[in-house]
Amino acid sequence: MRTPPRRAASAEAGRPAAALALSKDSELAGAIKALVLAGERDAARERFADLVASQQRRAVRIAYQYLRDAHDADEAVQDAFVKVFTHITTYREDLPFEVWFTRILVNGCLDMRKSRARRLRWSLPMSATPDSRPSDPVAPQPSPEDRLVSSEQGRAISAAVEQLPDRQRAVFTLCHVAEHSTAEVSQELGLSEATVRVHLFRAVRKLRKLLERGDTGV
Amino acid sequence: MNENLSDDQLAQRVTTALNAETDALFPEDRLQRQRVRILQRIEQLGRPGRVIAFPASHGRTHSALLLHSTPTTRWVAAAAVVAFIAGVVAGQRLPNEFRFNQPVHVVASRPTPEATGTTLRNAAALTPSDDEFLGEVELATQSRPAVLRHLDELTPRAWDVEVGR
Repeated sequence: MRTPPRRAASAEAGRPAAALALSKDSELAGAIKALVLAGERDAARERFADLVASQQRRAVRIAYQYLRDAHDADEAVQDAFVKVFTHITTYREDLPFEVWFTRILVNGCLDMRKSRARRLRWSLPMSATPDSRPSDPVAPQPSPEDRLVSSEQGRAISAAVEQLPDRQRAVFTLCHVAEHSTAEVSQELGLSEATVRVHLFRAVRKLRKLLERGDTGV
Repeated sequence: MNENLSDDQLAQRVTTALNAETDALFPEDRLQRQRVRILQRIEQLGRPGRVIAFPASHGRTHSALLLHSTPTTRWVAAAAVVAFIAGVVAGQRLPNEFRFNQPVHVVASRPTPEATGTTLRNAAALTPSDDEFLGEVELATQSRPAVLRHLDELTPRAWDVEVGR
């Protein structure tokens, strides 16, 4: 069997910074927990703002890949941060904060997907089609030049990722978009590290096939 | 697009495209708004829910008014009850001819043989006995109080009924 693919080049390059940030965020989370336990909630909130700023971009990227809807992703990220602060006293400092946080976020996204599926089952067929979803009013419209450059390739890639089976997509998203190690992803998803590597390998294989064939429906 | 790419390069390219898509949807100002919203929600966590007092002018409901009546309203209610009972008793003691619900014996006029087959009938078609009777009814009506006269005007007369038949 082939060696499972390792993290992408840029992710590898960015790894020391990410590890440093993770370590810093874990310390920060520990400090916030101590403040909450000491009853200093105002100070804890102030420190929590730093933690949000540090994790927010990554959280939004993960949530969007799970939900494929900007509003839902926005809501899921907000809920995850609020949940983290509410349960900060249960945070274990021996675990990386990012793993704990990602697990909360992913669970929230999965819950939201379930509720969305339920909602669509009971709604009119018109609103159930993905094409009829209202466009995001807050999202800025890309310029025509940007569209020309990136639309074709970007849409093909997004469509290919969407065609991946759920487990493969989750592993790919967490390994590459969230830049987590396979060990971290195994903790986040409750899978063995070997299983995570297999899913990641298969995900890349399938993406290659889909993009080579142009079979992405775009 | 990916003929000569290694797996890592392919994954990198896919990741870049996905992140670019998300970052376009979530520019920095949107993330800033999201941060503000998160911190607002966290600030609300420790606080008990605020109960907004209802305006005093709207606070007294109909039932509250009934339950907390003033002496004046109680007097008005008592007077209304007394007036009602007095009205009922007085109505019982009125002579029969002044009773509103006195039964009126109306003798329906029979159509004369020569008028059969026509839809219109005028007062001339009524028999003399009918005229007499209706004259009596009219006289009795005029002697009634003014309130009953209005009522009488509203009700159809015997000859109107006869004409409309």
